[in-house]
Amino acid sequence: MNKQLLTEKQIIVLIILFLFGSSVVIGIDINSEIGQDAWISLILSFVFNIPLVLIFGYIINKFPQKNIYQIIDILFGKLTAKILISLFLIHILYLGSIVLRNFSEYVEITTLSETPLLPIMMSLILISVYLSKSKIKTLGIFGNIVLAILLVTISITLILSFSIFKFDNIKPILNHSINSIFKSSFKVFMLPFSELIVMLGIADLFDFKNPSKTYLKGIIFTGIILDLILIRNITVIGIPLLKDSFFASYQATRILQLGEFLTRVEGLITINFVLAGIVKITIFIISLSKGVAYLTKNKDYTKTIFPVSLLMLGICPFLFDNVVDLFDFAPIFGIYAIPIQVILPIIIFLFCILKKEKKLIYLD
Amino acid sequence: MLFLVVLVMFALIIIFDYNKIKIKQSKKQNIIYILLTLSSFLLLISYVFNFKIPIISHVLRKIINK
Amino acid sequence: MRKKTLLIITFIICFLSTGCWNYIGLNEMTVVAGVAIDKVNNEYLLSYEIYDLQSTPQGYPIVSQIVQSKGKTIFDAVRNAKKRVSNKMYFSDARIIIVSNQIAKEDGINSIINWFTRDPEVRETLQIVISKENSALELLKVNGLTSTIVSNDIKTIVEKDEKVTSSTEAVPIYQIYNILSNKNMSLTLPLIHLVKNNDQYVCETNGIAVFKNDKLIGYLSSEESKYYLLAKNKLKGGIITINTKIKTADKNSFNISLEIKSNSSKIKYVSFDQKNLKIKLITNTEVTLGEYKDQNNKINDKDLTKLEKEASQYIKKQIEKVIKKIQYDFNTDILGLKEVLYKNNPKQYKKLNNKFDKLYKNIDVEVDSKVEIFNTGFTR
Repeated sequence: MNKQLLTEKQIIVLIILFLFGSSVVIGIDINSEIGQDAWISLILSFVFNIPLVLIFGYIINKFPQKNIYQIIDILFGKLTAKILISLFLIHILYLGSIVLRNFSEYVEITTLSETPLLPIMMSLILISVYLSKSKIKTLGIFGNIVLAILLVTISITLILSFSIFKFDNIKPILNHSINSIFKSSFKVFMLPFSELIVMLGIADLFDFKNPSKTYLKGIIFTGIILDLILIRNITVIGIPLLKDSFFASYQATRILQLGEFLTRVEGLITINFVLAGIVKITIFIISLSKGVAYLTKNKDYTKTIFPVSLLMLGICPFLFDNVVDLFDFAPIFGIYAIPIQVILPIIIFLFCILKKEKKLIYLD
Repeated sequence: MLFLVVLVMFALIIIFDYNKIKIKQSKKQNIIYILLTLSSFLLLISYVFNFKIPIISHVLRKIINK
Repeated sequence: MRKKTLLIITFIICFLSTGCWNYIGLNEMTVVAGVAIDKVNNEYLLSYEIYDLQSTPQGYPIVSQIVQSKGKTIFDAVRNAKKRVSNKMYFSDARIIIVSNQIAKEDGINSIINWFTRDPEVRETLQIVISKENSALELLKVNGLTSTIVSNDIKTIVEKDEKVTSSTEAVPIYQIYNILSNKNMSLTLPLIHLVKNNDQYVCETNGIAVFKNDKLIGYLSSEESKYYLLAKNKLKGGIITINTKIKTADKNSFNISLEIKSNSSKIKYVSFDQKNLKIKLITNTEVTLGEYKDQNNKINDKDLTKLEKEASQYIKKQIEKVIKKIQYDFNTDILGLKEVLYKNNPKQYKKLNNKFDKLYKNIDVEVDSKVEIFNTGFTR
């Protein structure tokens, strides 16, 4: 029961915030043909996610208190480990920059339209760097506060939207072919849900008792909330606008009002997104700096935080030319990310089992 | 112009941080630290001066569009 | 020494970052309450009703002013207004857009709403109304009866109308976007005209403007709109006036007012054979007897039942009349029959989708109305 580590509740909180961070991008699968069945594909996608999460839980169970770099180090030879970890780090760097760019674009389009991108990105990164340099407990407590704010805001917006629900917008249910629903749920699975592998990078700071259960609790909770938000968006703003608008939740909350005085609730959800985004970027930075620390045989990961985050900031402006690029790229990225986000855990998992068997045979 | 000033601030902060930790790290780690920081600065400055550097997403997109 | 330099650096950074790029003080923006769009010489002429904070003396309700600007596109005109006004226009509080019927007839609504849906400042709850007068500007020039700002007046009248008189339909801009993109239903917008009230002209709702695709093709009067809203299940209040006699002993027939408490209508697809599509419309209206002129004869239970039957017949006939007008005169699906088909019978929708426009004139709508009178107020 080391006081320096995160407790189980704090881990669940971090998982929820991590997955939540991407709900900015998920108007879910914006250019898709499935309109009103998007909520079904969301449920499917996180059913896909369950086996992956169970794999994570098994791996962590075998190697308690070790993060993914140490695990790969134990399981593979020195050279293979270095190659795998380098690939993994490049991927996380790229992914982290995309997330950072996502949030900055969101802030810029909705609220600060005159501000150039770079200052917004710099501000977000500075906060994340400060947060990652402090002890891990700070992140846990910060996560608690952010989740509280998040839940209150979401409940307010959901309750307010009851009066504007047009339940008709959900019909006709299941009108789309199973094929397209599966395709869409695959895309959603790739983008926010399987990013959980990044959390493995900081697994040595977690105090897990039952990792599979913790992970499951986290994703089930997020799945339910995200689905409710999606259903609210579909029923409030209708299908054509949902497909064409970049930030559906933002537009949905702009329509909400209670009488004449409680209007403009959209400011609240911008705060939500940015706070969840900061937590997500912090986790990326910590994971990345731990990896770089491992590669350079540094014992303290806080030393590598600054250069790593600057690099993330550096490649951020070059990723996309404009916002349409960003949203069009999401499905392509899904396919590109399969090797690292899906196959790598499966490889580690198989090696786990094989090595255990080898040891048994040896003992015999 | 404002960006350059802010970048200079960033540079100063990094130099302070580096001075604090270079004693505790080995030579190799110091080199990597300097390398990473310099490369990211180069990228940021080229963004401020409007040079465009294509990164993976452009390449990926070209491949997929073909 | 190091800490001091760091502190100085932080101070300098803070000083340089003040004057945030997006900072706009209240005295640096012109708040727009409503916009009227006309077209003159192939250019858009926009008239904005702005809150005039300067010339309002303290303690008085806010006065409004009208600013005009021209441009080749809507956004062009909005920016051109800066040539006359010291501050940029701020649209976050805009209530309504008034479109002249010429633009609606010739160019269509699609040419106008694009900027309003893209700009992040403009809210989705904006209402669009059509002006029946020669130009949209005339509606902005009058004074509102309840508030000094006409735009607020028009917006509140249109929004609250469905519960009170049900003579028009409020369609906020995000619903317009959905209807125009979806093509399962045709657009309807509220119609406003000027009317003389005590030697002054004021704005008044005057029914519904009917569109085909996005161009204006005709109008429904206030009475017809009421039955149209009844059919579409959007009616929440209103008065139905019947000219009839309740007692058989009556020689003359009187005007009787029934106040609608609530209404629910359902459109059901019945059958399709070769060329005829059959649809059933069931309405269920709960009313109270509002006004009955004859003081001499008092009403009893049998009279009420008789009145219910008469009212049902009357509503049925009126709805059928309106539907026929929509089918023959306008030939555009403002009732949303296609959409009902899509939502409830998607398989039929797939079969009929392409032929729907041709079928529309011959759709056989069977109306079944039921009226229930709940009470008659204080007295018999």
